Amino acid sequence: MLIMVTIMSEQKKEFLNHEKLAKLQDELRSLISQAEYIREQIDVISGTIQDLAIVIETLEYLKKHGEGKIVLLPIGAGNYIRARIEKMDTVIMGVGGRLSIEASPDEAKKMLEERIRILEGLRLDLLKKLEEINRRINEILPQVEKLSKEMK
Amino acid sequence: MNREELLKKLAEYSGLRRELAVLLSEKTELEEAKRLIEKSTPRRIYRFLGPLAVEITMDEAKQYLDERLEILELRIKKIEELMKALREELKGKIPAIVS
Repeated sequence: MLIMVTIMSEQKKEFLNHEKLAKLQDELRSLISQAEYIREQIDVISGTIQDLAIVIETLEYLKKHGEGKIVLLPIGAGNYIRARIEKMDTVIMGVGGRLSIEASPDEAKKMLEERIRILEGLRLDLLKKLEEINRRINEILPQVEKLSKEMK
Repeated sequence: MNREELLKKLAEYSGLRRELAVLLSEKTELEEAKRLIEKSTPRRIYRFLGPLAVEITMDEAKQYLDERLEILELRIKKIEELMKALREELKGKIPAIVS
């Protein structure tokens, strides 16, 4: 009788461990997918920040030395025509939603810097979130490994 | 709900979450465009139709942005409702996604 109770209790324990392991594995999978997604978003934001920084650099150069300069104007697929910059008093800048506005180089620079600041804030938030997810993954992983060993 | 069904629901939830993230980012972009246009009171505004930049007035720009925001809001609301229903179904089963 006692042996039977012991066997049943072990079977129950094994069943519970199995269920716990499955739950932890599901959570781990979900966390890993969240972490990958956040990492992708961080990469996109970093790329955009880099692009905007290049625009600011170009704008500063053209504002100082642009007027009268000959530049190569892209016409698509890696082809260019030679063109001369007549005036550097207007920048047409994309503001999103397929809209662009005319601004002075100084206004444009200010708006670009503001956009960079906002994106840097967003990137920081995502990095914090990623750190939190990684912490949880590091909590779960040893539990999964321990339970997997016990199940073998 | 067996494990296979659970994983299917999880994948569905994950897909919806991604779609929501895209829509929310689009919404933020449009709101930012609206804010920039109103704040800077630009000399000229252009709307891109394919490769063509058409000059539009401030009123037209605002109307265009408002219409697009309204459509986005509706889509966001629908996705949030679907996610809420899935969360209810999965409540207590996977702690990581309910948060």
